[in-house]
Amino acid sequence: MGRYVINGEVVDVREDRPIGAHLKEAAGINGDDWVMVTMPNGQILRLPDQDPLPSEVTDVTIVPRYQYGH
Amino acid sequence: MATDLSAAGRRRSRLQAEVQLLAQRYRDVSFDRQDASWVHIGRFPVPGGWNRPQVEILIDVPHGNPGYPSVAPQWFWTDRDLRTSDGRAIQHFFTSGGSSLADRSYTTKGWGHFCIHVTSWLPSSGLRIREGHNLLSYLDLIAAVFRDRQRLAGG
Repeated sequence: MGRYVINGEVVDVREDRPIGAHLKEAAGINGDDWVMVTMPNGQILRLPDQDPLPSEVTDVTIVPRYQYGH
Repeated sequence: MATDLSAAGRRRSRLQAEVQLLAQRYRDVSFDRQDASWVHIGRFPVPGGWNRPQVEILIDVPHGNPGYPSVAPQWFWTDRDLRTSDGRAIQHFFTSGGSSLADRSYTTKGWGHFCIHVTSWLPSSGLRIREGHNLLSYLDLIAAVFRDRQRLAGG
């Protein structure tokens, strides 16, 4: 079990090595949303539902799907 | 007083409830009590790498037919003089132009906007606001955009 800050709120996650889907379930957030993680170098990546959460992430945000416009 | 069941009335009630939700996390939250066409966050914290620790956020709430919450907010407005801390230009951030009268009005008033399009939006209805997408979800997206400084500022 682990404790993570997701969208600015502390969330308890049952799994020791959670994947993206576990984080969404624990946060009670829509299954269609994206899990965005911030790496120590500042890079922001989308974590697929089936991928494990990298241990070194500095931030987790779950958001509606989006794209940048022009 | 009779309940206003018009589209604008329903949107106003929804925004009133959502603003209470937002105020639990953010300071200085207000909204358009007359037309329910905008929500303003006076102090939205942003991570390091920008030229300020917090910004103002103005969300243009869709008020057509259909409007919010069926339709997601598109774009968001923030401080026009936003820069990276080392002064680089920001992609997808615009301080002039805009196709509508409202857009030009905002830029004239000193706002700049990030061009972001939500591609999947599943709001809940009625009082079950937290069970679907809402303005808190949208502000989480805005927070993710501000963390994406490397992509927006090219490294």
